[in-house]
Amino acid sequence: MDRHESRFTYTLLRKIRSPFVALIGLVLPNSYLTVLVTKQIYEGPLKQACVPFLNCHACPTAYMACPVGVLQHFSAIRQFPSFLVGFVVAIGMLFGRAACGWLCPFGWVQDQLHKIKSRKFAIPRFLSKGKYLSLAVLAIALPFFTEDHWFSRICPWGTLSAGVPWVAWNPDDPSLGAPVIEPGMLGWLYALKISILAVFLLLFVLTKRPFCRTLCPLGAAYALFNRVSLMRLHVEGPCAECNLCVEVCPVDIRVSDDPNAPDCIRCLKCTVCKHVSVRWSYADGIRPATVSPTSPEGR
Amino acid sequence: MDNSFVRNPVRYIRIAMLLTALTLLLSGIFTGDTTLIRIESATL
Repeated sequence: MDRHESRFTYTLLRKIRSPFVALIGLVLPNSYLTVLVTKQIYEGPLKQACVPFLNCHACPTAYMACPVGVLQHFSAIRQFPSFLVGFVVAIGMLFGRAACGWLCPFGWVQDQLHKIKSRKFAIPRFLSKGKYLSLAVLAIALPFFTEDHWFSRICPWGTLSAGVPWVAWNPDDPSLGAPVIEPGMLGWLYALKISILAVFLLLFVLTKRPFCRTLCPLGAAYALFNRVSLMRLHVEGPCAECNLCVEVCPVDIRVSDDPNAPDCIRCLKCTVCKHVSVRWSYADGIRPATVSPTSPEGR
Repeated sequence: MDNSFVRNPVRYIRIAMLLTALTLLLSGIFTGDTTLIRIESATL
């Protein structure tokens, strides 16, 4: 593939990314419309496997399980989730956090809301460590010690895609002969979840992908592999420091300095700069050298 | 012999991790741990 065709491919990829996520990440895994008749969530064989992104399996129309829900479950029953760990490590080793940029419906929701015109704010760098805490404490340690799913209790995507639809719809469960949500079931916890969701919805407008960068346990797991994954971003010098990559980046990364930073979701928006490209390599060093204009090579 | 292959341990790490992931994934399928997933809603 010559250089011209290669840039055309990147342009095409950037254009199809958003509709691709909407179709493959949002619509397809949540298309169990039979629920409108049965009034019960899908519990067939597909739900024994999980999608490689955040997608609440309690959503009325969900076909598959959420990896973070599965992780919490296995922590709660104190068993090692071989399938899940193998699945996440394989995806991470191949693509890094690409699933966050190319499949996650909640990331897509954040991108769409951030398009609303308003004053924008940057997220302090130290808050990006929060997602590792979320993974270690809310998704693993607390479920292990308390046998409860703590991350699911606060997950804004779970609230938006499952909690709110069930409460708004509230059909009669045929097996119970009573409404799914009975009076009195909605207590302080539901109020807390709605409050967390409301805060995040506001943050989505004001900042770039705050949930992905500060709270998502799955993003934290994938982030561990960004520097060693086979899919890699590569910056060919000399970088003119035009800051184009920083301006378009949905997670505020300076791609020219650290193309495989843990927060990078591999959305490929930065390929708008002709110096940035994707490279597939199992031999690249963990921090491939980039050429900056301040280095002797870049002058 | 390609010296860069010997000097660069990252490629060994990548291959080892991919093989480990594949082993875990397959062992998870064969031991049936995917069937342990409990459909439990913590959404309310």
